[in-house]
Amino acid sequence: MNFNHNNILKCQNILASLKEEKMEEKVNKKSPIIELLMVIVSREDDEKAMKILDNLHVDLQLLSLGFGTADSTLSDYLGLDIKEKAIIFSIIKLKDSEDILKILNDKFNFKEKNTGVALTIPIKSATYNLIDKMGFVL
Amino acid sequence: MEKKFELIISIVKRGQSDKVVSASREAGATGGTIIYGRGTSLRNNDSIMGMKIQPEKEVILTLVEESTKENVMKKICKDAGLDSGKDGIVFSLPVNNILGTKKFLEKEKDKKKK
Repeated sequence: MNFNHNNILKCQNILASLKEEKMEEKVNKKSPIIELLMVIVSREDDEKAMKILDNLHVDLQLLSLGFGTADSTLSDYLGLDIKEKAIIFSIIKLKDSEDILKILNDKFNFKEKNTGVALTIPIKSATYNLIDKMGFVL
Repeated sequence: MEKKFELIISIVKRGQSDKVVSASREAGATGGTIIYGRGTSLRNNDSIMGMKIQPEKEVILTLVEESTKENVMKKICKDAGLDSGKDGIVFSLPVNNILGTKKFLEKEKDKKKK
């Protein structure tokens, strides 16, 4: 093999790509597999949201009561800026999150104003029980 | 390019949430959701007649765009007096997926047009 400049460059490129692959593998191993789903809806819709999540086999649910703050100045002046809200916390699998959000969007039509918000937050670590319940094998 | 969002969580004493919400609005957030809770910090373990007092807290969830997160957090700390770290904490979590932010994005478009 000739140790000319081109060959050395090729070798360097191959080594760099191998390093990147290894780094990607590491990142994938550490990346979260479960997410925290938060659904914020008006209090009248709390049961509806929980039923939808039940039907989607989201078993872990925590319902918390809270208050939302509207942003219209008129309602601020009238003292109507506080609205009662229900916040549902649940744990879902990362691969299912998009489907669950799609279904929630279909049912609640979150694109419309003042219907609510749904979001997911990655979870980096959890207790074994939780992961076992979700059907993952460690 | 898809916009990235962050969820800012502020935990403050009961009654301070108004300050946090108005500060976050001034810094560019649209509003927030308030949940009531109780704190169990080591510093606040006062007791009367043997009964422990758990200070009442308010948890404020504020959804913001990643670019405005720092400003909002700084403004909350400044206005709600959280710089000392005694009266509460503010932290943020990354949001992977989100629904229901059309209104939020429309407001931003209007701001840019102006």
